[in-house]
Order: sequence, then C-alpha cells, then structure tokens
Amino acid sequence: MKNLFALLVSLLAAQAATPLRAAADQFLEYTEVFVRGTYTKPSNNGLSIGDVQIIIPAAALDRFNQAVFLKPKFKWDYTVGLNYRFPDTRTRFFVDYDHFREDASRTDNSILDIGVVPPPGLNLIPVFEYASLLYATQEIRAGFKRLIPFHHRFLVDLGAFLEYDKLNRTMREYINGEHPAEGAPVETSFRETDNIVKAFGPGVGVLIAGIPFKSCKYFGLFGGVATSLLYAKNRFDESNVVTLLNGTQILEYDYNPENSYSILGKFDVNFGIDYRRSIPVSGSKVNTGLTLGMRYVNYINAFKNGNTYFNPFPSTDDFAANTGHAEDFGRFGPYLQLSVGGQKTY
Amino acid sequence: MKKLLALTLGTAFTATVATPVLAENFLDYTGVYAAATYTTPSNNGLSMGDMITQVPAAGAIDTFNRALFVQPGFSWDYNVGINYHFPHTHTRAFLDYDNFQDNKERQANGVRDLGAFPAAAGPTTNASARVEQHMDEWRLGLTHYLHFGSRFFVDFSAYVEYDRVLQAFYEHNTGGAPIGGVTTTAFRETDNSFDGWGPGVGFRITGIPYAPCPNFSLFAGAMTTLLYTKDKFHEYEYFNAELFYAYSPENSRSILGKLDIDFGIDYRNVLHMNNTKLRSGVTLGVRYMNIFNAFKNGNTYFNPFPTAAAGGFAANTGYPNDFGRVGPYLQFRIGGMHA
Repeated sequence: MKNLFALLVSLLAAQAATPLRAAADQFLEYTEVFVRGTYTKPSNNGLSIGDVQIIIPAAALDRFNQAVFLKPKFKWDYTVGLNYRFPDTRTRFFVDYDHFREDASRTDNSILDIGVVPPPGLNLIPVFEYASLLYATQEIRAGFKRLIPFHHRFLVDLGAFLEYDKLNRTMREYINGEHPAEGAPVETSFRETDNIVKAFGPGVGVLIAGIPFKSCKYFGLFGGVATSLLYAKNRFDESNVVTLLNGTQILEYDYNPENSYSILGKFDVNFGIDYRRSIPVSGSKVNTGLTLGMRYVNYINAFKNGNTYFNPFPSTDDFAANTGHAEDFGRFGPYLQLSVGGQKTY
Repeated sequence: MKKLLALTLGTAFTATVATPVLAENFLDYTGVYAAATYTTPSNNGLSMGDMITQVPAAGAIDTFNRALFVQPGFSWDYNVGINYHFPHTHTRAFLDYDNFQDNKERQANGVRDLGAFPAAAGPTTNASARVEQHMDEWRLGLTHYLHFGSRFFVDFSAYVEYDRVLQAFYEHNTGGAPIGGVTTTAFRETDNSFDGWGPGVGFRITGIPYAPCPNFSLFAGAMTTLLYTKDKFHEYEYFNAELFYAYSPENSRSILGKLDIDFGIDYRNVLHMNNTKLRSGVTLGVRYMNIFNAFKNGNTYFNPFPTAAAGGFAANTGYPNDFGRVGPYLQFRIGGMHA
C-alpha cells in the first residue's frame, strides 16, 4: 500500500515537474554565463609623493625638489556575468560584475613631503619616505542588448544599461626628518588621504563584430565602446599627524568636508578576438566561447579631493580662488573570457 | 630540364599576365586623400599672469588684477590617408595621418606674472607669452559600411590610434619694481607633452538629401578613443638672470579619453579618363576634437606646510588641462570604390 502511495506521489510529482523542467531547460538553453580573468593596470594620476620646491636647493639631494609617483602594476582580477536571450528575439538581458583591487608601495629618500624637508648639509635625521596605495573598485551593470545582423558575417550589438560604480582610493604617506614649521626634528609625519566615489547612472554602448574568414566562421573580431554618465557621491577625508622625537603627537589637520555630488563621464573601449563553438554534451549541444580582448576604461575627473584647497588670505597675496582639482581614474589591460550556454549570437 | 624550363616559362608568363591585372585591381580598390585643415586649439592652461584679489590702488593699470590668455589663432595644416576596399565586401582598411602645428604670441603691459608686477605708482611691466603646439595623430583600422536604402548609409569603424602632442609655453615679464626698487626680468618655460596608443571606435551617418542629385551628400560622425599615455613635464624659471627653479619630475602614466566629431557636405563623381573610370570626391567638413585632461602639468603643485596654524587643506597634486581643436577642412579624394 505504501509502495502504491509512493508510486502515485512520484507520478504526480513528475506530472507537475514536467512544465518546470521544460522551463528550466529552456532557461538554460537561452542563458549564458561567463567568467573573465582581467589583467589590468590603473593610471597613476594623483599618486604623487612629495612637493615641488621652487628654489634651487643648496647641496640638494636628488629628490629634494622633485615629486615622485606611485606606479601601480598589472594585477589579476575578475569579471563575472550572465545574459539571457529572450526566445525568438535578438534581445538579451545582461548583468555583469567587475572587481578590481590593487595595492602598491614605494620607498624613497630625500623627498620634500608633508612639511618634512631634508635639510641640506645637516642631515640630522635621514629623510625616509614610504607611501602605499590601495585601490578597490566595483562595477555592476544591468541592461539590454539588441543584436542586429546585417548579413551573416557582420553584426552590430547595441546596448543600454544602468550602472553602479564604487571607487575607493586610499593613499598613506610616512616621512621622517626635519619639520621647519614645528621647529624640531620629527620622528614621523603621516598623512592618509581617502577618496570614495559611489555612482549610479545610465549608459549606452555599441559593439561591432565581424567574421573575417568565410572558411572559419568560428572566429570573430570585435571592437566596441560604452559610455556612461554617473551621478556620484564624492567623499573625501584627509588627516595629517606629526610625531615628535619625544613622542608628542600633533594633529596638524583633519579635513573631512561635506560630501559633494557630481556627474562623472566614463568611457569604456574594448576590442579583441573571439572563438565560439557548440560542444555536444550528453546528446545535446552546449554553446561555448573563448575571448581574448583588451579593455580601456577611464572616468573623467573621478576623484574630487574634497573640492577645495588652501587659499591664501586675499589681503596679502595674489591668487585666483582655488576650489581644488579632480583626477581621472583609468585602467587598461587584456582579459581572457570563457562563456558557456546561451545561444550563439553569430 | 624540360620540367624546369616549363616551370620557369610558366612562371614568367603568369607574372607577365598577372602583374598588370593585380596592379589594376589594387588601384581600382585603393583610394588616397589629402585634406587641408584650418583649425584652432582651445586655450586651456594658456594663462598669462596671476589674479590679484585685492582692489588695486588708484592709478593701477587695468590688467593688474586679472590674468590674460594667449589665444591661438587658426592655422593651416594637413591630413593625408589611404584606404583599401576589400573586393566584394563592404569593408575598407584605412591609414590616416593628421598633422597640426601652431604658435601664437601675445604682449601686454601691466601684467602681474612670474613675481614681477607693476607698482601702483612706478614703472609698469612689459609681458609677453608665446605658445607652440604640435600634434601628430595616426589611425589604422577597418571601416564597414551599411546601406539602408539607396540614400542612407552608416559607416562603422574600429581602429588603433597613436597620438603625440607637445605644448611649450614661454612667458617673459620685465619692468616693475617689486623687490627693493630693482627692475626685474623674469622668464619661464613650461613644457607639457604626452604620447600614447589606444583603441577607438566610431560611426558616420551619410545621407543623400536630394534624389535627383545623388552626387551630393551630408554626413556627421563621431569617434571616441582611449589612449594609454606617457605624460612628460618640464618647467624652469629665470629671475633676474639667475635660475630660480627647474622642475623635471618623473613621467606619469594616464588613460586619456578623446572625442572627435565631424560633419559636412560631400560631392563625389566618376571621371572618365583614357577609357577608364576614375572615382573622385571633395568634402567640406568641420572637425571638433577634444582630449580630456590631456596635459598633466607634472601632477604636482605648491603645497604649503601643513601646520595647525595654517589650517587644513587637501593635498594638491596639480591641475590637468584639456587639449582641443576645432575648424573646417577641405578634402580631395581619388581612386578606390565609392562607399
């Protein structure tokens, strides 16, 4: 009796599951997932260590009147994504997530930075500088793409999407040496500068793809551009602490202005080669793809640095109003992408 | 021996027959063009003089409390290129070179610059500034055109671009009596340059507005490029014939965004020469181009000592400037296939 009941339940479940199973199969047939290994390097705008001294220093050390730069290197990271092609259409929904994290550091001697000066001829304390950088960025895009085949070897993919970006940049500078403003040698002058951008906005893009050789339809070349305008909240925080030789700590300043809001322009260009093929698996065919591409991306005036800067008293000196300066943030480098599932787009 | 002779003769015969055909075929699908460009650059960063934020005392000269700008004028230059239309396709390969050179000078009295300024009652200053700019732009890529009916076309392009841009700015200010009544002479040279590679894509829309006159068309297009560049900077100043400072920082690396838009009118025709047809065209267009935050100015700036007395301020790592150009061009084309 129990066996009969189990049989009936199984049959009933199978009856109910069939539409679900079919829906799942259909979903998987039209759904593509990809994972991408990115190997990118950021630009180093704003990663200056040290000031410029505008006099010729006596017995100057090499770095005394020069700024140097932190130079981030290429770094492996990843992108993952999913797109779903609506049945019997050329339209796809897509969502992808890009992650990037990079740190870099640099040490140098005899730099003029954060009020610490290597005194020519004195060298009471050798000036030693250490600076470190942390970049952490995340990008999420969701939207629609529409494929327009103009003939079987030339296609245009048009996209419209919404994008969320988060950019963090933290820079820490340590330096020891003479500090004329304090009138005494210091053990360490330390400054931390944080720029954080959270942004959301629309974008559009176009990608051109062609199959150059009739005899090898699996290979494609592509080049595309996407541009976004992001409404961004800009946060900034900077603090400077000086530690004297006797251990006394002086908070020189802690600057934490109100958040500001801006519109950021972003350009994204990529190009590369593509190989796509169907692989028979358990009696059915699974579409796969391998892409080797290059990506260039740049946010114009991304980091606002608090939207302010030191302004001398106007009664004594000669400067235009200074509302600070912004810096770009860019990345570029190759990527290798593997994709599985979905329907062939070409 | 016979085989060798036959092979040699056969090869020679094939070459004799094939060479002109290949050459003719190549020339049939190859177009060359040359354009005279007449553009003016933007003058971001070409400031001459400081701004003084106090109301000048009576008798002060007008320019005493404001900066002036060097305003580059239009300059004739050129653009040349070649394209090859792959037979039986809508695809062309192209190579394009654009050259731009300009220099401009401005002179004014009573300018406050380089630490030399006119006293409220005393000798004035004589300032001059000169800018020299040079730009080389190479593009190599593919264009594919699509036609939507007989009167509307779209060209899609993907390319690799190399840009090299140099800007030298010279300032000279004499006179004034700022320091102990000594007449001053100050000179400063500021050099910004960058060069870099990057990919770009673009499109151009072409329409034939009047069906009875298919030779005339209107077009508009846009291109965008991202360049990975090496940024160089050098600045030095002489004050009363002594080197006051010389600043030559390390090179920095950036990604630069570039936008390029052009539009205009086009006339194309087929010329009959020696029983052959030669395609030709002439275009009158206007080009707008801008590279965002192109000149980095050394990525640094004056930073006062951060003391509690001086108050808080953000670290200043310098101000970049855009570089843009705008102006008309006249292009002549010959050869190739009509798109």
